[in-house]
Amino acid sequence: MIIPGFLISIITFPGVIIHELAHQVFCMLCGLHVYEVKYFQFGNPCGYVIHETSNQPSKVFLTSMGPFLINTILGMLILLPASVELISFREFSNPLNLLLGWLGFSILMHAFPSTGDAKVMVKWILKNPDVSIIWKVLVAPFVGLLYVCSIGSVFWLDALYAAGMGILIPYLLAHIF
Amino acid sequence: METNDRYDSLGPGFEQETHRKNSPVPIWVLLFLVISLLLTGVSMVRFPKVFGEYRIYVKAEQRMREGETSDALNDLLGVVETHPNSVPLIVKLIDLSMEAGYYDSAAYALNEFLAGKELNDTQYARMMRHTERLEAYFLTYDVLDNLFADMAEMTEEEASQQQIEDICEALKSLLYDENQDQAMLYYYLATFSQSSEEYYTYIKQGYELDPELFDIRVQLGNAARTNGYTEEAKEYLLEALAKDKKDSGALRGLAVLSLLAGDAEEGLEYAMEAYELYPDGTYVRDTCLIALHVNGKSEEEAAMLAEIQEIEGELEEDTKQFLEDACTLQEYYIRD
Repeated sequence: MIIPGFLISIITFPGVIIHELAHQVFCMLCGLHVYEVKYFQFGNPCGYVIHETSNQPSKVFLTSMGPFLINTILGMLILLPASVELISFREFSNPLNLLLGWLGFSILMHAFPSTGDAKVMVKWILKNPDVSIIWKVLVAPFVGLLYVCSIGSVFWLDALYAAGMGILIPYLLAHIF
Repeated sequence: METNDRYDSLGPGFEQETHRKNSPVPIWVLLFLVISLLLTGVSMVRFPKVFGEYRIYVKAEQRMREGETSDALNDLLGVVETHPNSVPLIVKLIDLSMEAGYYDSAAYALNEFLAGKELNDTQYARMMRHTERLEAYFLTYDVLDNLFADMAEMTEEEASQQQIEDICEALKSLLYDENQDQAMLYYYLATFSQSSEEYYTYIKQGYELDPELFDIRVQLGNAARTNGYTEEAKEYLLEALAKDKKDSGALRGLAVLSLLAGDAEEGLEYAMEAYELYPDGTYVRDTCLIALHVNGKSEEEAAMLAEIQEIEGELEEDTKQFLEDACTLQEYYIRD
């Protein structure tokens, strides 16, 4: 089912805010100036960060991949108990669970960096003659993955990722511990 | 400081402007972040309890396979009581209770929690099968209740031979009624049997129909031992222990077998384990007493004897005879 992306973004707007905030935070941590941040807007893109770039591949990588790390961790921490009760126990009567479930799911759904972030890595790492081959080899799979995830999002890959984390992680934890 | 714009990555429509100061984080975003972190905190506080409940749910079958049947089902019941609206939890509890022969628990869960819940087709079909099984179980239970009502107030001596024969005949006639729980009928026929051989035959028939009913494995193990089939007895008792490591009846039975096999130390170990789990179990204290006697632990034996006399009254005559060395262990246990 094709649903316009902006509609999905409206419903899951917390994820967009956290996504852009994650870019901003990593920029600050890497000492890169942040010129403008749109945390959420009704349009395409639904959010963006305009910041200083760098020739250091580590900074470029962190600022681009930051949302994946932050959204995944924060989304998981919020979603975990709610997902057990909502998905495994099928209990929908607790409003707190519904809130946490929606918030955690929304944040997880926006964990994937965009193709814009992939293009930044392509430009400042893969095509940058000043960057060592080791960095290029390390970063290339991530760039490929971002493009795959972007295409996959048309087929609800981002939602599957969020749901999968909500189901899989508790299950794995239960069997490990 | 090198600066490059990255507007080109945002696509057309973005004007190239030069900003030289860091964009501050707006208050509302900070507020949003604080609320998110607070909710994260709330989530983390809840997580250990919820995760514990989830582990109980996910690992119930594994625990049952590992011999923790009673604990697994008790824990699962606890989770169901915390989440009485969770159909997956309730259905799992009922399924596993039926599988383990915990029919009273399954019936309780069905009546208390499942009533009024929506089930899918598969769940519904399964619950209907369980209901049919439970109907037979409780039908027979009620019939037996009525049959035994008169005997409830009598002692063993007062219940006349005629009354016992009448009950046996009534039970045998019920065997032809397909609506009755046949395994339960055989179990109770064994209870009123006149010889250890008859007891063994009836209990074995009950076991073959439903090996999970009550403590039928333990009863069969003890019946086999009484009839001299010690290897077979051990198999049934180990089977009961494999189902539940905390089965004090099975441990007590294994204690007796070890003592009969001449392994006094092992016998005492089993007996004490049964005692620690459930001292009030049938003949558990007596078996401990015997095991302590065989192991020559006279102080502990005296303490156990005092405990038995305080709680249960006088020892049975054959136990006294054994402690006075008037009979052997074989004569004491095999002639039960």
